[in-house]
Amino acid sequence: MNAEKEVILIGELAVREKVLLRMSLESFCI
Amino acid sequence: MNIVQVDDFQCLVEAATKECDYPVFHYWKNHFEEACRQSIEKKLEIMTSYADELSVFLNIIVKNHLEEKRPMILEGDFISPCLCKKLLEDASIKGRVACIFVTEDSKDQIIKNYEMREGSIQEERAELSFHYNNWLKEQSQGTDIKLISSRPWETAVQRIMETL
Repeated sequence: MNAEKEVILIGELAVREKVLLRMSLESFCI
Repeated sequence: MNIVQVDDFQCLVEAATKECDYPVFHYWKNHFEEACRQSIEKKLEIMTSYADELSVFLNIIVKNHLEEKRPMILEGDFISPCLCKKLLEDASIKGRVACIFVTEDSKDQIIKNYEMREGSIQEERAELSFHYNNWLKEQSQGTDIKLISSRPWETAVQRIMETL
């Protein structure tokens, strides 16, 4: 991930499983 | 990095504000049958108004995280393109914020998504989501907001990260 970005806004709607996306993002950020 | 959900702020503003002060936050909940009878254009207008009204509050949250140097991913629907444009054009925080909309261009797929997520067919809701998706794309044209297709789902997160 680009370390310069401190805040990332991700807008999504009805994109399958939001929970899955969140979990993926969380695992990516650890 | 903190993952912050817009849904939480929706709960908060709907509980902490009054309809007379912020009518759009309370319209769907308090006038559900009337809302359902509205045209798709009016429903979309209500939805975009909600996003724009909420952006005032989300802007405060974003600025606070930047000031405190606490990185954050803010995720969810009702992230307004206006808010994104405002943040991306703000010279005082230039380069510190990224904005991405994950899109789904097939109404049939949105219907399937709601069915998978919530177990019921919701054609009217999917119709509105489809129009809202198109509105987000239109509003993002000519801006620094990034658009990412939700499919293939397996690579969505990787593609988001590559965009940053």
